[in-house]
Amino acid sequence: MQVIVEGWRSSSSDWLKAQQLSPEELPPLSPEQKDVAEKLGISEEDYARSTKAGELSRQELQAKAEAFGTFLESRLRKRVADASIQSVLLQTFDGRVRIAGTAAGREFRLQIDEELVDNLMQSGSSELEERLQRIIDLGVPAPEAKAS
Amino acid sequence: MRLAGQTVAVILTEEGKQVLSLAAADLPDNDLVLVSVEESEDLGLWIRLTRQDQMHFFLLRWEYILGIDLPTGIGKVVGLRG
Repeated sequence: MQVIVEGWRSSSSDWLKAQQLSPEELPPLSPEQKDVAEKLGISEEDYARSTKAGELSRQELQAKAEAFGTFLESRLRKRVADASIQSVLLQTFDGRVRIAGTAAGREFRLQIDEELVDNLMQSGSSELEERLQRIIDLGVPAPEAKAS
Repeated sequence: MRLAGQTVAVILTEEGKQVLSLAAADLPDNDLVLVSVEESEDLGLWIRLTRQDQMHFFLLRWEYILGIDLPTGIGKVVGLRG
């Protein structure tokens, strides 16, 4: 399973850690990032601090996407025994999780609201689980019924 | 667009600049101000500020914001799980 985080986001605690670092501890900006900072008229140090905050939170986002992928795959296999997920793509800017996989010999793609993923993984709510199941039912191929 | 957790450049009205100055935020000379967003809601953006090394959340109301620029120049991170 490939786990991809596209974009970035920082938690408040990681943002605070980045604010407290000395300028020497900040990551160097790439030429493209320097260009963005210049065009926006913001200081390279401020831009580097926001970049650092994003780096600190990246692992958390990666872990979340991976945990959800593992959970979803186990749910899919209850429906289709050979189901597998090829990739989990978390897009931070539009708050979506995109899943690509195969089931019953066919490819499928799902698009799930990140908010649903967060709330489900944090609360374990059965209502949210039902919503996820509905997305699975609508988007994942079912096994062919055996001819009698 | 999900703004929570993003760092964005906001273009403020003159009143907005005054409001942020009152909140003791460091303001640059130009019109764009880089802010880190904790949450976005109907009233405005809850932004993160530091004072004496402590973090504060400050509500920047929509009426003080003329525009938002969201730099997306940070790319993909790919991990593999067996």
